[in-house]
Amino acid sequence: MPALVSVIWVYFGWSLLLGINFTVFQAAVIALVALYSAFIAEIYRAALEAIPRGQREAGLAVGMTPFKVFMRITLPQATKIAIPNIGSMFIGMVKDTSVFTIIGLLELTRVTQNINSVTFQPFVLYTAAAALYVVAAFAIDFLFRAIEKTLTTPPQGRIAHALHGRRRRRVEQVVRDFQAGAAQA
Amino acid sequence: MLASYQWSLIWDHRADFLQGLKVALEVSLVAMVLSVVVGILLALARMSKPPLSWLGAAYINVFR
Repeated sequence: MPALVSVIWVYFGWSLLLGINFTVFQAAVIALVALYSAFIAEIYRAALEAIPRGQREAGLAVGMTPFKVFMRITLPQATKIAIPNIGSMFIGMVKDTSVFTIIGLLELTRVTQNINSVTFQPFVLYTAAAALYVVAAFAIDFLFRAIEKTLTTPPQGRIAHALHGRRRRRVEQVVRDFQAGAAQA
Repeated sequence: MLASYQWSLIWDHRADFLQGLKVALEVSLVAMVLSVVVGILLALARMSKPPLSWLGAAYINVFR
């Protein structure tokens, strides 16, 4: 379903049929979520299926509940795989906001139209709008690359050391307990 | 002809442009967070046993 059809359906369709009136912002968000959650579901399905079965089995074997196994083992690893694709979905979303001009959301394209209707300089103004979309896309791409890098490389340096302090101390405690148990045996 | 391009308009309306970009980013950020949550739930529905997986597959295939 195209984004344009999706917003008109949510903003005008639901209002007429069900009497639910959204603000333009809410309608825009709902339209995007309706569309992109389907794409993200497919991304996550592929990512979840890429996790070896043994990971889940190991979690269950140490006595974790299925929910805990999902939250602590399967989902974090799947997210690591899914992040680059989610980034490109995000860039697609930012560009798709331009169709919300149709319901009067004051986003970049609508603002450009408004300025143009007073100044009649379409070439100049839409060049500026295009440049801003490109800059935003580059920024998001950079951000998601950074997230991907921090998720896929082990934490290093003093800041990471401090941030992971609680978890590290807990692991060290488990190791000490194990060694104490082994010494007694 | 060429002289009629007023590039200074971009700078004059910089606040409006940036406000517009801010709204576009806000909408997509909120939508991104929500669709990751909904997407994970849909992926789980899709991977579960038949009655629920059909619903998930139907939604995904209709909206994609």
